[in-house]
Amino acid sequence: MEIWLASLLNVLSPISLMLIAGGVMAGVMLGAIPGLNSPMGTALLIPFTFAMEPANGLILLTAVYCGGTFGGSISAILFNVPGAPEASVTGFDGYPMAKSGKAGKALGIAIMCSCLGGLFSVAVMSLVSPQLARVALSFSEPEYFALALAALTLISSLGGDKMLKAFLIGCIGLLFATIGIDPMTSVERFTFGGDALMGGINFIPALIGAFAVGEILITAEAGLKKTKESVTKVSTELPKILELIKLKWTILRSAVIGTLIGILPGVGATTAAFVGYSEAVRWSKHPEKFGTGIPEGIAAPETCNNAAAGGAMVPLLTLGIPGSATTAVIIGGFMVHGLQPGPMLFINQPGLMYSLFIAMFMANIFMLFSGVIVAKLFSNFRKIRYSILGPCIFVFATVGAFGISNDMVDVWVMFAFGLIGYVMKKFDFPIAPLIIALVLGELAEISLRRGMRMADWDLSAFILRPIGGTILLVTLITVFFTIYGKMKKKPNVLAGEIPAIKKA
Amino acid sequence: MLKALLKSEVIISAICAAGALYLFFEAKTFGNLDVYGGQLGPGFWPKLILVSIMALSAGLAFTTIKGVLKGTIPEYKKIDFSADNVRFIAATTLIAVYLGLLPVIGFLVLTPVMMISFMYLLGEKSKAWIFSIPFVLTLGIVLVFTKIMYVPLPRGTGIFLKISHLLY
Repeated sequence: MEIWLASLLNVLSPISLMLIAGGVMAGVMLGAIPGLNSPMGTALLIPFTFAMEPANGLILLTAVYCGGTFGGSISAILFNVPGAPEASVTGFDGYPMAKSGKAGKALGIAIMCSCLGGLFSVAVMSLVSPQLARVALSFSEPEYFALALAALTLISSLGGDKMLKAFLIGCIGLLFATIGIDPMTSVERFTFGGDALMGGINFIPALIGAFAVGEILITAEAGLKKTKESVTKVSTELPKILELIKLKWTILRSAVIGTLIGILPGVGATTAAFVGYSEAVRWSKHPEKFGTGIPEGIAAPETCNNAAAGGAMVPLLTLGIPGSATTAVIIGGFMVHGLQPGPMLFINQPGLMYSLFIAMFMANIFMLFSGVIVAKLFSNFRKIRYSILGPCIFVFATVGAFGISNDMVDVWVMFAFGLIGYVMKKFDFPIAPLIIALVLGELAEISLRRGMRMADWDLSAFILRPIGGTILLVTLITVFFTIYGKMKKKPNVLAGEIPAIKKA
Repeated sequence: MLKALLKSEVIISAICAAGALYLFFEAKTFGNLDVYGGQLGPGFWPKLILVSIMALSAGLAFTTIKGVLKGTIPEYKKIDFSADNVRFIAATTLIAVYLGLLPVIGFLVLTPVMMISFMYLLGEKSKAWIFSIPFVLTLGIVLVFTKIMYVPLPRGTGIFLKISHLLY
């Protein structure tokens, strides 16, 4: 208890508070600008921490991390261009909500849920870090496969009445995910002898292309006079208590999922957001409304990705294993101060550990304020006419795609996916399954192949493991009921479906 | 029947199925390495997906044709070529030309030109905006990305490289 109090006093010092506030603000700004992200920002800040006390330096880095994880959702909601990979799913419902004139509400939900998700994971991390790390280590390939499959089944719900189209597009997304060098055998797949695609298709340029560039092309074709987007003054509205109570199960479920997935090394906040969204759809009473701009569609991924950010600190602090790209950079922050993350850190530097926990807790609260300020700044851009905004978005999209690996191939991938997105929008094919499958494809394939190899080609190993088997069973049951429910559903005339004409 | 076959769903399904068939034969060349005992090699997953694509394409085409014939899905409507299509083609061409020339001319010089053209294309009338925003934004991006974040934006070649070197 004394250590907790001493750590609290340390974090409440003016310097630490300024570092938390500044770090969160910088993180949110970095996250909101496509092409810049929290791993990049954290890496650039490491030299600035040389002269600081170890606790202060690490507090600054973790504050940037917390802010950066949320920041991407601002541009995802306002312009359909996620500033960071973690915010990819937020645009599914955030952008339609913004288009219908509720950008302020969408931003408010994203900020509040990010804060709640982050607070939850920090609370869990502070209390049961070592135990959770042990659970994470018990996850093996069958569990990863079950997790990926569970998230992929979201496709059956996202397609609405166009399930066949959704599955077809999902399969095409899975196919795109196979392009490049096979991670298990190093065999080149679908590279056609060139080296441009050897590294595979990065999903961020694909996502930016399908959503942002596709939208620009559609708008260019439709002409500005014909677009009906309502551009109103955007003022961030944090959700009221009653609205939060309505979202309580979505937030709680997503916080748990996000924290658990965050703990798993190498999975990360992006997958967490997809799984969280998938589970929100699965448990919703109105799954068909997802993708049209509903609060649950923002609350789930935003709670999940920020909870995963906290969760990713668990293996870092307890085992010295980074759970995400940014935590890998933060390890560097530990090392420049001569610290080695791992179990001994709790014994040798307990004050530092508890200071970090408290600082992350406060960073999530500061995020409420920083989020509102940065969202207000960015929302001013929505007042600009599309004839000016469209080219600006395209330039940011280009820089965002290029900045990932400083490679023009990514920019061409963005353009190609822009055309694919245009065709899909034009002919009423859902785009989200393409991106979901592209993100999760590699995890699904590799965990299946590795798992089968480990089990000596015995498929029962996937079913009989308690965690993996349970996830698979729940997934199969929900897919069955989704498909069965849709097959029994009568045509919705109000939605434009034409009922069968009975011949006399 | 012809009006059913001309539905976009049927045409897209046919393209997907044909593409999947071609890629299936490509995937057969990946081979199954001995180390895996011939099982679940690099070709297994792509082939599984490609077979699924072919099956789903056939399913989508079949349900669409059946729906059109039954009257549950609207018939194909001929799309007339209009100014809208010209604007789309112009925007696509502009983007393709911009991306193609980016490594040659560089971000600093080419981006304002592209933005001005794009703004005209989208119907922007205000000359003040057209000739201010592209330069301010390009300069801002160049400074933030190259000076603060060390992202090496394309510099171009020859004279354009020299111009880019003035800033980054």
